Amino acid sequence: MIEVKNLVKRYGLIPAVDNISFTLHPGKIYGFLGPNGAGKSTTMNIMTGYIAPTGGDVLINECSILEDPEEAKSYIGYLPEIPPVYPDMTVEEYLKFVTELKGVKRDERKKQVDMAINRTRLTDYRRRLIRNLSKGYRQRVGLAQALLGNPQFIILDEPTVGLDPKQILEIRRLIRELVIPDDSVEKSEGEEKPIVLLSSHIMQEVSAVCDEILIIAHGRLIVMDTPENLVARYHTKDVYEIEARTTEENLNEVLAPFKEMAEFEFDSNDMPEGVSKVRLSFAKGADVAEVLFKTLAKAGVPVRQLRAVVPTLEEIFLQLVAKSDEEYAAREEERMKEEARKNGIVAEAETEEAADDTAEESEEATPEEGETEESSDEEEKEGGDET
Amino acid sequence: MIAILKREFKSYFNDMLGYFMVAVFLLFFGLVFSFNNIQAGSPFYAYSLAGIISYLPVLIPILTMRSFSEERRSKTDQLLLTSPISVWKIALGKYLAMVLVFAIPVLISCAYPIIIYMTGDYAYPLTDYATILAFFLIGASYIAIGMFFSSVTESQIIAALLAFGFLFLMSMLTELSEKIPLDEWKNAVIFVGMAVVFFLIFFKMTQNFYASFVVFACLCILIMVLYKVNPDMFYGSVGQILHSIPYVGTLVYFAYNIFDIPSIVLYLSVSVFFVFLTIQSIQKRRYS
Repeated sequence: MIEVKNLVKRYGLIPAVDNISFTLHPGKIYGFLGPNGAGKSTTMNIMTGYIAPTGGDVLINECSILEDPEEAKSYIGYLPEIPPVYPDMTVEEYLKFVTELKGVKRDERKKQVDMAINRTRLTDYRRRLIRNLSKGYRQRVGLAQALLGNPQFIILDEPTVGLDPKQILEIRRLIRELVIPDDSVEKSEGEEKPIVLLSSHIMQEVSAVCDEILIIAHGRLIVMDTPENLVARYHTKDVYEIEARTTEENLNEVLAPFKEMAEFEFDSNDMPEGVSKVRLSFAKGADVAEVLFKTLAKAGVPVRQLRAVVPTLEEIFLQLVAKSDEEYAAREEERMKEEARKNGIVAEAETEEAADDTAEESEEATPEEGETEESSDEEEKEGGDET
Repeated sequence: MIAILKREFKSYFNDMLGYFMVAVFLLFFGLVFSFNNIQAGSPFYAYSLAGIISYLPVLIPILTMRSFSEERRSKTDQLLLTSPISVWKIALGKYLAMVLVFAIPVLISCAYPIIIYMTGDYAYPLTDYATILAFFLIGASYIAIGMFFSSVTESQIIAALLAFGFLFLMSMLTELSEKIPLDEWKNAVIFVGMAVVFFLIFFKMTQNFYASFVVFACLCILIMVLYKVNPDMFYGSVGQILHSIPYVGTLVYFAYNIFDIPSIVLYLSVSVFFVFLTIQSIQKRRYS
């Protein structure tokens, strides 16, 4: 089990990771989703011990990455965004080097290298120099090194970036096999199913591969749930989209009986001439598809399309990120206001001091470091009164 | 550590660099040996070696420049730093691999005193071997310095230039010490200049201006107080300090048949210190 506790990473004053906490359980594939610059790679780099956090901790099998990094790292297999491969080595030499680096016992090294090569379908390339491999195969070599040492926790940072569609499917299949191995893969006795955490900014990839999704934006974890639950959670309305060969006015008239139950949203801009489109949003559970169809048929309106609109994960993701953007903008505004207010108070105090005011007055105006919120609130109030 | 040492050592010979370094060193050793010992008939290989020590600041940075810079540039340092291996083992593995590459030509050159012994009328093999050992240890300390500069930048060229500049200054310490003016106030100004450099380094490392400035101010006050109390102590003081650490110059002691243990300790200390600085430099990057 992996516990990420109140993880914070600041670059200067800017938080790249802002108080993230979550727990990951064995045998599951987790998708780490977020727009570019959301803090996915930073979080992963902290979890693997590549960079140190400003605050918080990561416990891997109850072992802290800060206090006992060597043991914690021994549970991890990591494929960074750029596969960390040495071009001057052959695939086999490189993998053997990684087994040595990970402290795999001498008699197990060959077995593990063979296993990783088989799993990543690199058998025909094992004696090739890595510099002569294509990007897709380098990615496989990177994935193979992440599998060495039987890690209980596999972290893959955007494993399919830059690959062609066939390679993407191959890599996805490989990732699924890490948790649900196919019959061709030999499994050691007592080997526990690993935790896989993969990052991506492609929703289809995450929904195709992952059991649970963690969405992160502006360094904060927005949501963590299964794809099904996410859809269910954000599927709050039954929405039907109707395209019919008639005018918007006529369509509005025909569908008038539903006006009390649904919200209407006409949008016929992209439609061919004479075709109108309307979106009807009902409360959840209103199974009205057939009733709608009958109503339209009865009125003699030719229906081109009638479909129930279920929110896709992509839409949910975009919606959540947009909300997070707004919150972030509000937070930033608040922070800037706070800074301006502090500077204002300091400037005010300085002017007062310069004017050689009484010590009592300057004490009231200048907040000392570590003063409570109460006192600053009071000052704000005083300031407000003055104005 | 052994895994890193093996990989690094092999990587030098997977491309031209390892062969190039060995060849260039052998060329230098061979040239001074053939000119001084074979043609001129000198029985001291030690003197020949002392003659080529000044080329080390140029050659060593070529060997060390890629050690950490290349790993950072190609992001392979992510593999090393996320493996269950401590940073000091990584640094030591890399350091020892470079020392091993340097050791190859030095070991081959160990044959020269034997040739002198077998063919010459006079031979001083013990002096020669002691000097070879000192030469090797100076080279090893230069490698530690070069590795440190490689750990501070992603650019191999900048790493090489920084190492070259530093090593060049180090090898010129004795000459520099003679050029520094003797006047008290000028020496005091040099000390203040050093305090400024210290302030900049301290600020870069801590990112804390006030703390750095307080340390700088304390140093300046100390210099001023000492100057007021006893200005004579500043007379020629910088030159004396530089002269007292003649680093490269100590090789001559070995050539004069003095097995100078303090110098050996100094070479080893410099190596350990710069390997330590390399570890700190990597750790600092992880925390910044």
